[in-house]
Amino acid sequence: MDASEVKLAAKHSLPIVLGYLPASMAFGVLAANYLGNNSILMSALVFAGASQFAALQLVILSSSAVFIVFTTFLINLRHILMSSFLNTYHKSHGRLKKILIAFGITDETFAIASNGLKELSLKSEQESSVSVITSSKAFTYQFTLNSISYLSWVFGTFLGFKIGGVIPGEILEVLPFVLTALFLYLLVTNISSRRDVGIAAVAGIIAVLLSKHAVGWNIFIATVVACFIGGKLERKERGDGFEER
Amino acid sequence: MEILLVILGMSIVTFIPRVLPFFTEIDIERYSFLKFIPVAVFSSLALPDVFAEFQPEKIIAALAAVGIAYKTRRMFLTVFVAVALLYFLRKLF
Repeated sequence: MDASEVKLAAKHSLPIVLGYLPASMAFGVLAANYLGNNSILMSALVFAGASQFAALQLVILSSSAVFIVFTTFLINLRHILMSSFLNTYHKSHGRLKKILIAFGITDETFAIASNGLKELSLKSEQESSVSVITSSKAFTYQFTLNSISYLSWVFGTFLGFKIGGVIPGEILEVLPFVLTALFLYLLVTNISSRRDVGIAAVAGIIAVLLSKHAVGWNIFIATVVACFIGGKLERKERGDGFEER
Repeated sequence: MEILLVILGMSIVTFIPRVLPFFTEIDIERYSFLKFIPVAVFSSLALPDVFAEFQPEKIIAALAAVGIAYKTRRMFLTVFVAVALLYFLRKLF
C-alpha cells in the first residue's frame, strides 16, 4: 500500500463527505416513506445522487419500472466522459482494479481525482525521471477517494432513514453548496489559458440553460459541445503557428 | 419485489457508462479534446446551482469562492468561506 496516497486521498475527500452526508441524508429522509429499507440498498447499489432523486420522484408518481431504469440511464450517461478522462491514469490496471474504480466514478470523485492525480503525477515527475505517476499509486489514490465518498453516501442515507431531521434545516440547506464551491475552486484553479475560459463559459451557459429540462444531460451536452469547440480552437491555433501552455 | 428489480436495473445501467471507457483504448494524445473535459465538467456542474434560479446570496457566495480560489489556491479556505458566507447571508436577509 502507498500510505501517502491514502492520506492524500482521505484529505481530498473531505469536501465530498461534507457534501454527500447532507445530500444522502435528505435522500434517506425522503425515500424512507416510499422505499423503506430499500432506500439504503439503492444508495449502496446505484451510488448516483441526481438519478436517485429522480427515480424516487418517479416511484412516487408510480411510473413504470422500465421508464425509471431508462431515465436513470440517461441521467448517468455523462459518467462515460469522466471515466474516459480518468482512464488515462488507470490504463495499466488489471480487470478487477478497473471494475472497482469504475463503480465509484461520480461527478465529485471525478472532480477531485482528475485534479489530484494530475498533482500526483507532477510530483513524481519532479522526484524522479519517470514522468508518469505509477499505476499502483494512482489506484490507491482513486480507490481510497471513491471508497470514502461511497461510505459517506451510504451512511448518510442510513442516517436520514433512521433519524430523519436531527440536523437543523438551515444548516442542511447550505451544506450542498460545499460541492458547488468545490467545483468553482477546481474550475478556477484548472483554468490556464483564455481558451479554457471560453470552454468554461460555453459549458456553463449550456448547462444552466438546459438544467431545468434535462437533468444529467445538461452536463453531458455542455461538456461535449465545449470540448468540441475547444478542439476546434486548438487546431486553429496550431494552424496559425501559435502554441499555448 | 418490483422495487428490487428497479434498483437492480438502475445499478446496471449506471455502472455501464462508468466502466466501459476503462476497457476501451482511449488515447488522450489522439483525442486531444478529452483534455478539456475537466474544465467543461467543473463549469457545467457548478454554474446551474448558482444561476438556474435567481438567488442573489448564492451569486455573492459563488463570486467569493471564485475570488478566494484565484487569489489563494486553497481548497478548504475557498469552500469554508463560501459556505459560511451563504449561511450568514441567508440568516441576515
